[in-house]
Amino acid sequence: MKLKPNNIIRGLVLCCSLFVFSAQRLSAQDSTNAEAQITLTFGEQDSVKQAKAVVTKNHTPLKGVDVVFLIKKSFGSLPLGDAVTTDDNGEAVADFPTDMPGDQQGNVTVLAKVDENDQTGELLASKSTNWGVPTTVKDRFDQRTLWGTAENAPLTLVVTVVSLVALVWGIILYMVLQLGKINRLGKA
Amino acid sequence: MEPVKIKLDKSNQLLTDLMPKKFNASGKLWVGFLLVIVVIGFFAYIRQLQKGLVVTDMRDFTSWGIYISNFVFFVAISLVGSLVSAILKLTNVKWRTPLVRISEIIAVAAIFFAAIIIIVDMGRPERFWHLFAYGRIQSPILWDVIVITTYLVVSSLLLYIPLLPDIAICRDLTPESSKFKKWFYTFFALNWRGTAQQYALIHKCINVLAVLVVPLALGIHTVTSWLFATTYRAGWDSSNFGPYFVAGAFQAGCGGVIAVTYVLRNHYNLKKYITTKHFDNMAKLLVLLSLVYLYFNINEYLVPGYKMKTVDGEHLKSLFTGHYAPLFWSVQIFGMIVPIVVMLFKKGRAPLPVFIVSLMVVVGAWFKRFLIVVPTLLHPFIPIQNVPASWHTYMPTWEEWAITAASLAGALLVITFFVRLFPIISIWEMTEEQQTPQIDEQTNLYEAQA
Repeated sequence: MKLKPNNIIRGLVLCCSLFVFSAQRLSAQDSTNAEAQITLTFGEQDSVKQAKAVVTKNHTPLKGVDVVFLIKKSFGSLPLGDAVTTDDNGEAVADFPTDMPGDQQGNVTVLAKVDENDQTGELLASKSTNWGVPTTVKDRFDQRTLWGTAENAPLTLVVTVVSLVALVWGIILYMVLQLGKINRLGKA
Repeated sequence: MEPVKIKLDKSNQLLTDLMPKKFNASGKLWVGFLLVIVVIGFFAYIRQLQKGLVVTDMRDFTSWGIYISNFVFFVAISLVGSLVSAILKLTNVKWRTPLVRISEIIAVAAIFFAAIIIIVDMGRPERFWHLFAYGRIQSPILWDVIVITTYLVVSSLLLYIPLLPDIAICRDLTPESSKFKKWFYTFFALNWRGTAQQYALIHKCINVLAVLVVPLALGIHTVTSWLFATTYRAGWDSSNFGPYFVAGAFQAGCGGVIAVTYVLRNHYNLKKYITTKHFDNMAKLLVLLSLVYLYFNINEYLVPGYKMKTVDGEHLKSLFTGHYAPLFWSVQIFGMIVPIVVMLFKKGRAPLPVFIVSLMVVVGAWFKRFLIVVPTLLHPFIPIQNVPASWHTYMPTWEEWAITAASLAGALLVITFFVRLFPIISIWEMTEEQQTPQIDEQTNLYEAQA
């Protein structure tokens, strides 16, 4: 097929239209997310540690938005109770448990998440705090275990095996000595 | 203790009947046949050494093939030494005497080749010593290495010590002209003169070893079963495995000793010493051992079969109705059920039927070990995916068959050459029984001699 000038122009017009249409859609989506925001802060109320999320749109607090608080784990996230709905100030507050395991320093990462919502779309904020209970990691590398290196075999196992081997091979040695005795008796 | 008085002249019928004899034509043919198998196996092993384990069909999933099946079979057969020479001795069974040495040489040959076949299974056999140097005592593999080495030494002593008086007879009856033979027997006879003190020592050693070898024999096969049972795999993950293996080993070993005894009895005309009563008794023993093994088989297959849980179920389906069903049911029926039924009848306990049934038991025992090892490996918990199609199955290559056959032939060669060099029935113990009154009223052993 030959490329005619008319066809080239039609093609260019079609490409430009598609580009403009796509750009408009993207800017529409961006404008929704750019307007809605979630911020996460930590505080204390009557000695109870609390995570507070504030949802705003165009810097105006949004009421009635469900916020889920989560703790980030190695695989997946752990919900901190049910979703909390924002109040007139756009605030949702969740109590932080006192027994939540953290890393070796007690650090945990808290997430505040708004799932599909007509006004905000999806929102997510995350922040770390040292409110968790420090976890002690037991390093068993140098301990005596069944799965350890040869030098780190459990003592009970070593004693049992060595005792059995010594007993049986002691008897074998005794038998060999008896053979020597039979030999000497024959010589005499 | 009175020393056994053995007449070293032609008037002693025991010497005429039981002293080792040169191979006749059929004996030479038999040795030649075994040697050819060994040579072919050796050639196959050279190829394996040159090219590595890739000449086998063992791959990522079936990492244990017929070498390990054969190893477990050898360990099983070796248990017969403790059965006849120890358990029957400790339970004061008199008719066992002509069978003791046969079962002991079977035990030594089997356990020796069990050790060899483990080296054959290694990709880097020159590193065998690493097992001892770097072995982890937490590993059942190291326990097996220890117990196999110990059992080999104890079984060898249990064979050698009661052999001393008979080696001395060979020494004394070998003419001076046969220098090497004379030296050989003299060296191994350990200056045996047949004094009362020497006999007392021999009896003491035999008694100690008989007590020692029983827990060792149970240990060797229990530990071998733990090689499987301590892993989390369908078909192996069973607390029943220790007694299940021990029961199977006694059955296989008993079948083995009956088969070898029958051949030796006919070839060397030992019917005076190994009577139909011996076969009748051994057949009864084999029935008992087969029933015990059947009981363990029912537990091992029926209980998981009732549950059919996930991979266990797939593994069992492959045995009951799948790829391995013909072999599985052949082994169960011809290696266990038929022998039990045949030997329940008196006519079935005559020498020839017992021999045939024992061969069925031994062959069944070999394939049973294959069924224990291979199908489990082909049913891992994580499905076999994205690997070459050949990895989904296991079919031993000619090299594997040749090496395995060579190890079996090697064990038979050891027994054959032993019979050529030493009396296969203990002359001094038979003489001792003759000199001791009231022996063996139950078996009428000496009625036949009279």
